[in-house]
Amino acid sequence: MTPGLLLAWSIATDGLLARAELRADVRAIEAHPLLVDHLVTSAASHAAGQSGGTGLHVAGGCGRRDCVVVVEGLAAAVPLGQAAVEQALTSMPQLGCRERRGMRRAWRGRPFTPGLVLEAALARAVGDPSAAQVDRASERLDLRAPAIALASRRLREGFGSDPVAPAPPPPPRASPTPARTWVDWPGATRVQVAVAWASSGAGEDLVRDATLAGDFESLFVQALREDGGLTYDVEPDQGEGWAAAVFDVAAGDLSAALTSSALVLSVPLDQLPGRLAGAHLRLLARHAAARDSLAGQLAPLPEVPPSPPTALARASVLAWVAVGDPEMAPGAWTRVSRCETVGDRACPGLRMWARAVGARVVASVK
Amino acid sequence: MEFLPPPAAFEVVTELVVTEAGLRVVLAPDPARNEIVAEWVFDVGAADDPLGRPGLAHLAEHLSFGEIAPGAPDYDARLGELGGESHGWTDRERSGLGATVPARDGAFRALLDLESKRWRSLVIDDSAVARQLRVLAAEAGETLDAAHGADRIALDTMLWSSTEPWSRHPQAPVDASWTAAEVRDAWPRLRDPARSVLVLAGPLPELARDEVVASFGSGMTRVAERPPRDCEPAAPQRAWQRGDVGEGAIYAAWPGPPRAHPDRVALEAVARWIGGGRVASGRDCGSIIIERRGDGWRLGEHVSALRRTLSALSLGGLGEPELAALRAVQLTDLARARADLRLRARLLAGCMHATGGTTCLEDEAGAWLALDRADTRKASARWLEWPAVTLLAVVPSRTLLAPPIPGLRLRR
Repeated sequence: MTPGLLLAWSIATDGLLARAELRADVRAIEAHPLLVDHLVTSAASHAAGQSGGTGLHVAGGCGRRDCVVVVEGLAAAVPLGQAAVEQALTSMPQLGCRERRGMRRAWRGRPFTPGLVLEAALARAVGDPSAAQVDRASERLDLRAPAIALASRRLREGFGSDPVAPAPPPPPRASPTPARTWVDWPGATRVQVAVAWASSGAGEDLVRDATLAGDFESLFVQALREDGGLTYDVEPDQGEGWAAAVFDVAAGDLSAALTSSALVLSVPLDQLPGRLAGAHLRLLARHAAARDSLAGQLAPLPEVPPSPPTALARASVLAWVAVGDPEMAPGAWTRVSRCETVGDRACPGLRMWARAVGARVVASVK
Repeated sequence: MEFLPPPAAFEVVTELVVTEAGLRVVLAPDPARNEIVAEWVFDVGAADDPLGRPGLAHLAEHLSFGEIAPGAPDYDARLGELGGESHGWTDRERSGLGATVPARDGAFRALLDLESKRWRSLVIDDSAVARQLRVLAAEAGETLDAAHGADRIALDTMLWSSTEPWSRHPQAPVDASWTAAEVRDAWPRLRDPARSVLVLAGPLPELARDEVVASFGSGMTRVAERPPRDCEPAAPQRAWQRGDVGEGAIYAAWPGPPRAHPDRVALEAVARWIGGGRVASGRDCGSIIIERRGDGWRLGEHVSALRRTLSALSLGGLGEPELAALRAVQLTDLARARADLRLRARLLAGCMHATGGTTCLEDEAGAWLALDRADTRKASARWLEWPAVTLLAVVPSRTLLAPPIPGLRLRR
C-alpha cells in the first residue's frame, strides 16, 4: 500500500467467508464508471496473478447514490484481494480508461439490450435527476483527466471516509397523460418497453413485487399472454421517485405489452389481497435476509413499509418509454434518436450494439 | 494453501427420510435463516429425452408449475400467497424445481402441503402443453438473441444431428409435436419418486420429520426402474462447417465417467483447466465437453493447443499451482453454500443423486483437498485420449481457413 493512502475498508465475516468493501459517494468521483470498471478489472487480474488463484471474487460498480468495490471469498484469502485493490488504486492515474460499460443491472448477460439508452430515456421521462448524470458520463474524453485527478485526491483523503449525504428524492410527477417516448433504434429485432409509476420507496416497492413476482406467472406476464403475447421476460427497474417494469418483447408482441402494462396498473391492488400480502411477506423476508448477509452488514438498508399500500391507480403511471426500430413505432409517441438520448456526442458502442441486435451497421442516425 | 479450511468446516447437519414410494426427503435444519427452501432435483435431464425428440425434460419442468386440479389456482399463484418465489431449471443430467418462502408461523406446513399435493392431480392437457411449447419456443428465441446465440443454435443443431449420446443438449430446439397424451405416458418416469430428491432447508419445526412422512405417504407413485440407457459412445468424428454465424466455435468432447466415479473430481479439475469445460455424467455414462471460440486461424490454434495439452496432462498431470487455484475456487463455492440456503439445498440434492449420502459438502471438500498431481495424471491418461476426442466446429461462411483446422474435415 502506498504510504499516505488511507483506505477505509469495511469488513464483515460469516464463518468461512468474508466480504470487504470500499464505498464512495457518486459525486465524489464524477467519472465513476470509468474508474470503478477499470479498478475492478485491474484488481481482479492482479489478485489472481499474485495469489495463484484463491477463489476471490472482486467486483464493483456505481448505483445512483454510490460506488463500491467488493472483495469476497474465503476469509483468510480476502486480505490478498484487498492488497490487489490497493495496488490497482495506486497505479490508476497512469492507466488509460476503457470504454464505459453500462452500470445498470446486467440484463441477464445479453449485450443486445440498449440498457444505457433505455435508462437515460426513462430517467428523463420521469424527471429523475440521474438523467443528467448519464449525459455527462457519455462525454468520457472530456472528463477523463479531471475525474482521475478528483478521484486521486479523494483517495488520498480517504476513499469513502467522508460521505456526502444523498439528496432526497424529488416528489413523483404523475400527470393525467403519461409521457410516451419512443427511442429509434434502426434494425432492432426486439423492443424494450418500460412503464414507470410513482414510487416513494427507497429501493423497495410493493407494487412492483405484487405485479412482477412469480417469474412468468406474474400479473404482467399473465396479462401479456392473455393478450396474445408470448414473451414473458419482464423485469423490474427503479430510480429516485419511480419504479418500472421493463418488457423485453419480440416485435410482434409490442401491442400486447402496451395493453397488458396499462391493464395491470389500472387494477387496484386491494382487489388482489393474496398477491399483496405475499409481496409484503416477501419484502419483509428479503429485508431480513439482506440484514443477515455479509453485504447487509456493510450497507445501509432501506426501511420496510409497515403496511402494504391499498391501491395503485392508473393516474400513478408516470411514463411509457420504448426502444426499438422506427418502423415499429406507434403513431402517438414522441420520437427521439438514441444519440439524443445519451447526449450530443457520437453514440457510444454503436457498432457493437448494432451487430449484437442483428441490425445493419449504420454510421449514424442523427 | 495454508488458508484453506479443513473438510469439517463444511459440515451441514441433515436428516434423511425415505418415503414408501422411494422418495428421498432431506431435512437440513438451519434455525438462523429467515426463509424456508424446498428444492426438488430429479435425476432426469435432456440426456434422457428420446433420441430425435428433444425437449421432454424441459417441457416437464414447465408443466410442473401448472394447475393442481382443473380450474384450481396454479402452483405459483398458491406459492405467491405464502410470499414465496419459485424457479426451475433443466440441464443435461438433471432438472429441478425450487421454492423459497418467508419463515413465518405455519410456513413449513403450508409449503409441505403445497409440495406434497403438487403431483397428485397436476393438469397436463393439450391446452397446457401447447401453451408451454409456445413458451419454450420463446425461450429459444431469447437464446437466439443472446451473444453467440445464432452460433449456439447452429452448433446444437449439428450436435443433435450426430448420433452421440451427449448430443442430447438441453438447448436443442424442442420438438413441437409433443402431445399431452405422450407427456402423461412419460410422466411416471419423469417424476419417478425413486429418481427424485426433495431438500427442505431452513428453520424447520421440531416435528418436521413426522410431517414429511404424513404428507408424502402416498404423494407419488413408484414405477419400475427403467432399463439402463445404451451409452456406448459412437466413433469420434472431426468435422467443421461454414455457417451463417458471427464468430467461429469449436466443441471438443470425450467419453467421460459415470456419476460417482472415483476419477470424477480429478477430471472436473482437468476439464476446468483445459478450457472451462465440465464433466457431464449420467448414471451409466458421461462426457467431457469444452467449448472454444475464435475465427479462422485461432480455431486452428485451439485444436493444436488442445492436442499439446492433452499429451502434457496424460504424462504429468496438473501442476501444483494450477491445482491450488482450482482447489481454492471450488472450496469458496462450497463455503458459499453455507450462507446461501438455496445453493445448499441444491448441492445436497445433487449429492444424494451422486453418492446416496448426505454428507455432500464435507465429502466434496475432502476430495478436493486430497486431490494431487498423480490423481490428475491417472485420470487424464485414462479418459483424455486424443483419438477418442470428437471435434465439431462452425466457422463464419466468409472465413478462409488457411491453413485448415488440423484434424478437421469439411462437413458437406
